Amino acid sequence: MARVSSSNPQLSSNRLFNKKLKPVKVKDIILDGSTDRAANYGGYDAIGLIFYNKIQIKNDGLNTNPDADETLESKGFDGVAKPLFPFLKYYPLINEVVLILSTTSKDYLDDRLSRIDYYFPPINLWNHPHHNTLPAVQNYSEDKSEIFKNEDYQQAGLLRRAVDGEVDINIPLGKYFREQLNIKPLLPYEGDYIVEGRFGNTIRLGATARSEAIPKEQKNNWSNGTKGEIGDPITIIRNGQAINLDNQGWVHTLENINTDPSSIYLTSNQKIDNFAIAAPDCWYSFGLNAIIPQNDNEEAKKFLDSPIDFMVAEEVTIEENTQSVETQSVETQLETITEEDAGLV
Amino acid sequence: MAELKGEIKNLLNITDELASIQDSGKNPILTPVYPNNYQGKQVLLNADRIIFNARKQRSEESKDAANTFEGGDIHMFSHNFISFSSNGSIHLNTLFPRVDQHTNTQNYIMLNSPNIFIGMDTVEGRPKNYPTQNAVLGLKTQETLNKILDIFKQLLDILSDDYSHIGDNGHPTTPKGEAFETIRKDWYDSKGEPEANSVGEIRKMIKDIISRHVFIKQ
Repeated sequence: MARVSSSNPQLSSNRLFNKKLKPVKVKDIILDGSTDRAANYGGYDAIGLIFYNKIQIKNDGLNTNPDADETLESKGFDGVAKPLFPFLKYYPLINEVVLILSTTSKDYLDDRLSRIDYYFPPINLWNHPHHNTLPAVQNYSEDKSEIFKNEDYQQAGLLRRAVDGEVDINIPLGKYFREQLNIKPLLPYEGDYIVEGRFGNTIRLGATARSEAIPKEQKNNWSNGTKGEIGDPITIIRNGQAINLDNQGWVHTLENINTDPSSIYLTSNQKIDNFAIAAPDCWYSFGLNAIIPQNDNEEAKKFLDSPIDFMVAEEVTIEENTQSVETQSVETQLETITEEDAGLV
Repeated sequence: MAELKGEIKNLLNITDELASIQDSGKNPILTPVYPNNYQGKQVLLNADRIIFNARKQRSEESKDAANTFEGGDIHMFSHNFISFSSNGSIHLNTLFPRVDQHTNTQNYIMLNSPNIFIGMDTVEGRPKNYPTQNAVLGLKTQETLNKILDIFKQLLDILSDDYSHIGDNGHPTTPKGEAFETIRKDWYDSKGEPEANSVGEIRKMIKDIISRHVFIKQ
């Protein structure tokens, strides 16, 4: 059993969060190690480094803009941080919120107290894979009278739930990142392990999921077979979502092997019965009666072994009383004679 | 379960199997499950275009090594069928030698099977049955045609030298060898051009009738 150093685990957790992990908002990120700006932070070693502003010390007075420094036009920022994990690089977008942790730096051998900030992946503010930015709308509206009219924006989840899909305010998420309102999260089933990219690319480590508890419109096409058991593993790698989906990006979707841009299915006991074959009619050579040409010598040997198999009776026409009687093909019968007939007796 | 012990056993005699199907008149059992009807362990790759590319080239050292290449291959193995189907065409290409090279002895396409079917017999314009026409062996054909030509030439020799006809007036005629002089000329040394409209011209045509690049087993 794990030891708990504090008598109150909740208190310990809160203390860790308050003193160690700090939420900050990303102002900019270095993705090109060859620039002069990157050179100031270590060149290529600075790839992934973010410039952030703290979000918990802002003055939220109604007459000032507490997030005035978050735009790129503003020079100010509160600090920089590097990705925490060496094996996982999930680069945040501008105005996404990340947790930072201050801990040992590479200068540790020279200065035991040397510390720098590292950041975790973005906080799942909108519970959406495409992005989770939280911009202060007032910074991006030309009409400053709109400064504090951002309630719709925040409550609606970055306007993503506007059914008509229109976004009136152009808020940069990066220098070239293109917001796509129709990107949908992947619909999960019980026990699924899903990895989602920002652009509809996904990896599902799932299983056959067959239950009356699953609504009809949420049933998948890999759980239909009669042989499979619930829990039979399936891995689906999908590079982008289907292009014919609606713009309701908050509604989850499923993989579709036929309309997803490209995909790999690794099945264990499933049937992908909606899989559309590119050449469905080109199956001629299967399911036929084959005639295998026989070797002449083999034919001859068969004849010698059993000549009767090769005897075919011919049609015989018998004329009787000017009446022609045509017989059908008759089987040849072996003629038998007695010893007396043969003159042996 | 079959125990292989280091050798590949012929677990299924395809020829016998197909023959038994033919004899019994039953539907053949050797048909794979259609892709979207198959339920089991499989990998589906689906995209607008799929490329398999084995990029390693033969090194200069390996060109001198005997029979063994390391990498640069694509291999597919299966217990039952390997099937290629296309609404369009299927191409198999190998590299040809450069223009200044006059022989092509290195690259080839190999089809190795006890039975090889090319094309299918159609019913109402649709592929329906396996083909039943036999292929022709090139060398055997060449040998047979040369034999026919030899006999034909012997006949010409007899007609021109050794035989007399009975003419219209009842007297024997004198053989006219010069009448067969051109047609009797053979082409033994396989050099130069044979006489036009001669046995030799046909001999040369028989020599050229076989392909130098396509071979079939006996």
